[in-house]
This record gives sequence, C-alpha cells and structure tokens, in this order.
Amino acid sequence: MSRRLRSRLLGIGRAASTRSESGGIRFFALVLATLSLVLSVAAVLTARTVESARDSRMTAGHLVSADPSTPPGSTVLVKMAIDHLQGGRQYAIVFVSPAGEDAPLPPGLADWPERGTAVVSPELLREGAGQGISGRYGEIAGTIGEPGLADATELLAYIRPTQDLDAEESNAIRVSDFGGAGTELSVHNVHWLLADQDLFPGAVATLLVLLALVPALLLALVAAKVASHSRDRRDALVTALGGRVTHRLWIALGEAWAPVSLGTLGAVAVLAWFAVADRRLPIVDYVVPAADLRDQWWALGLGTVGATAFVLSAAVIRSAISASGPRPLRALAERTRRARLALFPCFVLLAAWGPSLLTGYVGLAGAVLTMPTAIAVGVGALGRGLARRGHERQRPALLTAGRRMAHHPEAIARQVFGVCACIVFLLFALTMQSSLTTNAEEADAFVEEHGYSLVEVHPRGAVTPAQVDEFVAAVPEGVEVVAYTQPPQVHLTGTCPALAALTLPCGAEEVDPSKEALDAWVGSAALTVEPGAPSSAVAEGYVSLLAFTADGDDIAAGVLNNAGVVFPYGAATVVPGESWYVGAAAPLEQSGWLTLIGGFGLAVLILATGLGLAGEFLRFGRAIAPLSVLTGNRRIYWRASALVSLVPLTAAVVGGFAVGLFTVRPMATSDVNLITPSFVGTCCAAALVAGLVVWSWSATAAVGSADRWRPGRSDD
Amino acid sequence: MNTHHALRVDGLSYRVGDRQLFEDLSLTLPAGRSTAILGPSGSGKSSLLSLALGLVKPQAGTIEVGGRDITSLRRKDLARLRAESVGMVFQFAELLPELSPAENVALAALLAGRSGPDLDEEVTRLLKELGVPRSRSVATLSGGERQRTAVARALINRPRLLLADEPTGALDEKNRDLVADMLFELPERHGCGLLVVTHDETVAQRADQVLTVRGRGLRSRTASRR
Repeated sequence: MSRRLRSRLLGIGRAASTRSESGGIRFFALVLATLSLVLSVAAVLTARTVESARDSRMTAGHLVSADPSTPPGSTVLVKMAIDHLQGGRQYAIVFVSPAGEDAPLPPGLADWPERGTAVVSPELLREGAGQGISGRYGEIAGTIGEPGLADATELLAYIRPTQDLDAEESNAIRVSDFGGAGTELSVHNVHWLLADQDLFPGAVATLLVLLALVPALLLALVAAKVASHSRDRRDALVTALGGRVTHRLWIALGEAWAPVSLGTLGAVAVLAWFAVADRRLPIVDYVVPAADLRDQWWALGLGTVGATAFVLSAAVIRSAISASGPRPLRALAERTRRARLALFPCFVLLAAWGPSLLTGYVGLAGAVLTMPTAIAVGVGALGRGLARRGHERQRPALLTAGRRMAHHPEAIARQVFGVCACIVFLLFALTMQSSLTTNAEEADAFVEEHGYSLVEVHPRGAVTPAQVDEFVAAVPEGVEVVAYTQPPQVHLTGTCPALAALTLPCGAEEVDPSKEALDAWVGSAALTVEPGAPSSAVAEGYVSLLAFTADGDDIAAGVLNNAGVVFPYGAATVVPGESWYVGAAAPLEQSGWLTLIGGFGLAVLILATGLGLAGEFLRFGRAIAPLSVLTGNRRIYWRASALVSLVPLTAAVVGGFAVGLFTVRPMATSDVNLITPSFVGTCCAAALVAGLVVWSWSATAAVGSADRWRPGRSDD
Repeated sequence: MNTHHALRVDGLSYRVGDRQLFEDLSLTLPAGRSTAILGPSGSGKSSLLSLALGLVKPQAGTIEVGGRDITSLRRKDLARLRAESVGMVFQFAELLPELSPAENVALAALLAGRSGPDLDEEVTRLLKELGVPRSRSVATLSGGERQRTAVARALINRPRLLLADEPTGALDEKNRDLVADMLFELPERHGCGLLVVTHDETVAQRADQVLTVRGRGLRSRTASRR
C-alpha cells in the first residue's frame, strides 16, 4: 500500500471521527474507555508495587533479637503495646530504651528521643490532633521518617519512657538490629499490627482487577461497537469498492486514534498528578506514595501503552472484521434458554433461604449466571406491555419503544447485565466484609446511649498508689475516678464524693446501681462499693480505673490518656464494649476499598451500559427519522429514548440492588450492615444522573440525525 | 374545498456550494394530477424533493404547497404543514420492522397528532384498499406489499401532495408495475397531487405530465396516458 493511499485512508477515518454523527457519542465513549482502562491498569500495577514496597519497608521494622554475644551497649530494649484513638483502629506503640551509644536506631528515626518524649508518625499527629496526641506519650520530639513507616497513613509511635525499660520485664525484647533480608512478618516487628489489619496479600490488586479492570475492558468493547451504523455502511462500501481488510484497518485507525489519544493523555495527566506528590484517596483516606509510582514509571509506561493499544485494537478490529459464520455459543444459549429461565428463581430462593452458606454461594453464583435470561424475559414482557398500552392509548413512543424492547430483549439485557452482576458482587463482598465486624454494634449501642460519659482506664505496666493519686489529680475538673475490680462481682473503690456522683452510698455494702450508664456497664453482676481513694485498690502493681462525669457529659477524647502519662507506659482507655468496636474498626476501614473500587467499577459499568443503550437507541432514531421529519414530530425521540435508555439503566441499578439485597443479606453473620442507605442512595442517584445524561444526549443526537435526513440520501 | 394547486414552484433558484442546481425553475402540479420527473443521477431530483418538503431553502423563488408558500414559513408552521399536507413514499419503504403493517401506517397518523377510535378503522380500510394482507409483522410481506404499506402510510394523513422518491427502484418488474399502477391511480381517487421522482421511463409514462431535469430547469417530455 502506498504511503499516499495510507495517508488518504487515515484522513477518511479522521474526518469520520470529527463529524457530529451520533452526537459524538463514540468519540466520547472511546475517550472514557481509554481513560478508565489506562487508569485501571495503572491502579493494578501500582497496587502490586505499593504492596511490595510496603512489605519491604515493613521488613525493615523487624526486631532482631540480640544473642548472648552481642555487647549490651549495642542493643535497645523494646516493648510493644497497642493503643487506639477514639473511633479509630488500633495501632502499635513501641517503648524503646537504648542500652548504650551504639544501640541501633529504629528505621525512620534520626536520633534517640529524650526520656519522657516520643516520636510519632505524621498521620498519628494529624489524626490525633483533636484528641491531645501531643501530650499522650509525653512531649513530641519529632516525627518518624518515611523509611520507618509502611506507608504514609500508618499510625505508629516510638516512646522513650522516663524510666528505662527493665530487661526482666515481660514482653521486653533486647534488640541488636532492625530489619533483615527475607524476614517473614511476625509479631517481632513494629508493623505487625498494621500487617495484621491489612486485607489479605494481593487483595486490593484482585479487587481492582475484578471491579475496575474488567468493567473498563467491557467499556472499551462497548465503545468500540457503539453507534456503528455509519461505520458498518462505510466498511461495506469500501469492501464493495474492492478494499481489503488492511484498507479498512487504516480508516478505522484514523477514526479512533484521536479519541484514544485524548483518553490516554487524560490518564497520563492523572498519573502525573499522583506521581508529583503523595495524594490522599477519598473514602479510604489512603495516601498513595508518589515515590512508589515514580519507581515503577517503566511499568506504568508499558501498561499505558498496552491499555491504549487494546482500546485502539478493539475499535479498529471491530470495524475491520465483521462477525459472521456459525455461532455455536448463541445456538447453545437458545437451546438452554427455558432451563435458565426456570432456574433463575430457584437459584434466588436457594441463595436467600438455602440451608447453609455453601448452598447460598451456589444459589448466588447460579442467580448471577441465569440473570441475563431473566432480565431478557422481563424486558420482553415489559416491552409487550408497553406496546399494548401504546396501541390502546395511541401513544407512538410507547408503541415503537415497546415493540423494539419486545423484539430485541437480549440486546437490552446484555447491556444491563454488567451493572446488575457488579451490584450483586459488590453487595456480596460488602456482606462478607461485614461478617468480620461481628459485635461492633454492641459498642455502638452503649456509645449511642451513654456517649463517652463512662470510660475504663487501664494503666499499662505495674503502677504505684502514688502514680494513681497523681493520675486522679491530673484528670480535668468534673471528671471523677473510682477503682474497680471484676469479676465475679463488680467492686468499686472511691471517695465519698465520687461514689455520690454515681448515686451510690458511701459505705461498704452491696448496692443496686441507679445511674443508667453504670447500670449498663455493671450488667447482671452484683455491685459492691467501698469508700477509699482509688489508689488504695492497687494490688500487686495493677489497678483498673473507671472515670465518669456526674452530669453524664462526654469526657473529652484524649484527656484521660494524657493524664495517664504519669504511668510508666501510659494508659489505655476504653468505653464499655469499645474493644469490640476497635476490633471491628480495621474491617470497617477495609470495606472502604470495596466501596471505592466497587464504586469506580460500577460507575464505569453504568457508563458502558448507558452508552450501549444510547447506541441501541440511535439505531431506532435512524429508522424513525424519515417519518418524524415528515410529520414534524420530535417528541417521540425524547419519549422513546426515556424508555429505551433511561428506564433500563435506572431499573438495572434498582433491580440489581433488590435482587442483590434479597439474596445476599441472609448470608450476613453480623448486624453491622456495610450496605448503608447512603451507599445505595448514591449508586441509584449516580445511575439516575447517568441515565438522564444518556437520555438527553441520545435524544438530542437522534433529533440532530433526523434534522440532517434528506430524501434519497441514506448515508446518515 | 381547497382549490389551490397541490404544488406550485415559481422562479426557483437553488445552489449547493458553488454548484447551481436550479435557476428560475417553475413547476405546477394541480390536485388530482400526477407529475413524473426523470433525470440522471446527480441531476438534482432528490434535491427537488427536499425543496418541496421545505428541508432546504432556495436562494430565490417560491414553493407553494396547498397554496401556502413554504419558503417563508417558520419551522414550526412548516412542520405542521408537512404533517397535514404532505405524504412521502421512499425507495426502500422505510418501515419499522418491529411493527405490524397496520401499526406502521397508524404511526404516521399518531406522530402527526391524530388519534381516536376511527383511526384503526381507517388504517384497515386503507390497507385493504391497497391490497396489503393482514400480518403481525412487515417481515412476512413481499417487496411489493411492503411498498404498498408505505403508500398507505403516506396517505393516512390525507395529504394534498404526495411525493415519491424512486418508489419502484427496489422492486422486480411485476411488483414495479403493480405498485406504479396503484400509485398513479391515487391522485384521482384521493384528490392529491403526485410528484414522482424516478429514472424508470416505464414508470414515468404513467404520469399526467413527464418532466426531465435538464440544465438547471425542467423540460416537458411527451404527454402521458391521458
């Protein structure tokens, strides 16, 4: 093929792409398809890279135990504990006492903090700003550097206690070094808790593949096919003129390269924005490390080229190679149609009311597989109903759109199936995730009723009565403190004013708690009281304290922890039942990834469905054009488009949620429902907005197509 | 009764880009009469139909449909006039495959704003008159039957002007004769003016008046059957 002919063919394609035929729907679809596919590929690659980089940084936090031959001055004593901010997940706090000048510094620390001071991660400083984090572990001497953190969102604190750690103390480890190549992550690692709270290895990448990459690939295929009428005619013409596949390829390439390039440029701009500085993702609040992105620039480059090439190939090959010949899968689908239709309700009922979780999974998988047939039958029945009503009431839009739906139900079913399947999968994943948060509602129930007016305080390590007195003196005015022991019975030790604030008598006796919060906390156990200072309850260096406000107001977050700085290793605070909640915090936060990635995938699928339906409608628009021009009726486009694009799209989302909730909710083992009304509402609203946009766009494009219609010209 | 001509074109000039298609073209088509326009491809036959439909505007001259000059009408009025007074038959029928023949015909009336209990009756009568068999789908109709359905659709709004663009171009000889005979009987039966654009002389000969596009105007050919 001569260079001149090639250039001419590219020019033909380029001219076709810039024409306003189909209202630019294919142009826009290819831009979005390329954008979402490049970003999805980049996200999968980045997830793998960040995970690997995190693992590597976590390995650097491994504690290498000193052996007997290690000189004592070259070691550091390390004791790890757990803390949490109010309403947040747990994090590790690491107490360190260097034994000498040669003691190894933990990664991310430039110098040893002074005694009674701490070095914390920037994220802990940020999240704890409203909870008095600057006084929680003593004075803040600095922040942990990047090499010492798994990622920028890690909560971590290195604390050097006022009194050096005792090597004989339980849980204290003498460490000769940090890190070690090839070390498995274990509890002997400062990042062990974060690793424990992570999703399973490769989970984010897997979610990205399933919920972002697959929908993006689907969008690319839809974009390649959408508004194909003119292209099909053009290709038939080129073939009739003696053109070969290569000629059609060059024309198709000329038509697709501009929108595909635009989409790639958009995606590269987004990636560049992420590569310039650390960026915080919405919903999950995760900071994507820019350095990790820059480190894998070559992989991102290859991924971008690959994704771009895929969209371009899909667009070009779809145009150049016509689908023909026998379709064995279609024939098989026809033969099994009745069976699949009958099986759909069976699978739905099996998923909802099956005797075990296994039958639930089988039912769910079966319901998803047989769903397209059920949707097609539903669409067909709806179409027949609409057409009948249109005929009776003499409504042309109802008649024509209904007949079209009745004649091509599979076309609409194919378009909406992706959205329905994605919703069901998302609801299933969120339900499974919610199973990890069992009992979190118990904490919620107490906090909802009594707020933070009653808080347990657990000093870490052995304490002295003097330290307890110091703590009681340090708590803010209005907050009373009593000591307690339990079980088998709850025994309170407090001053008479403190006991009076709990409406308890000041004498050694068994009483009934009349204060509601206390009653809820004590539960069914017997309650005895004893007058005395809380410090008098210290036994063998240990005591549990109960702080409360007499008027039932909340105790400000962090003030008890800050007062607890008088104890050797501070104090852990918890409202009754909060430990359940704290345990559930990590799975709750992890569910954010499902919502974020699933939301993106769902948006892409809604877009793909909307564009596919718009393409279907444009075929109808072309068929009706001569008649609408002659009769001067343009309203039919708006009304029929609403029926062919807006209604199926919104119905798919609503129906997907209805079937999904019905089949998936019985599998839940927790009362915590991650499928929140706001999540469902947002998805439905997004579908409605997308439907409205597609509706107005396809109707406008069809009206424009009708306006260009002329007798004797059938090339529009 | 409206005594105006179905179509009257006077002093028409029409240019597309730098190509002058028509200059000072005149044409009169009385109600109840038929005119066939012959001409080679690219001579402007279809453009003449676009002008008669008001889809494009001439640079000069007037085009009257039922006595109203469509060149000066606003878009909305033009659409109404087209719906009420003009019907059209296309070369490939352009029927909606999902609808029955009766529904295809009724659709044109519904889109023009007509409705009511008499409509179905009128559609049935018209299809019967044109010899279209009852069917649930247009897919089962022959080419000639499809084209007669298209004619019924063009007539359902009782147009004063009936336009036909190569109406027999996609038919075999037998069906061509059947459709052409039926088409040229319509002006007398329905009182409309029929303007047929064709390149088929055997079809054109059935018209009351045969014109050819020559130069930038129309020239009269031999008179017709009457």
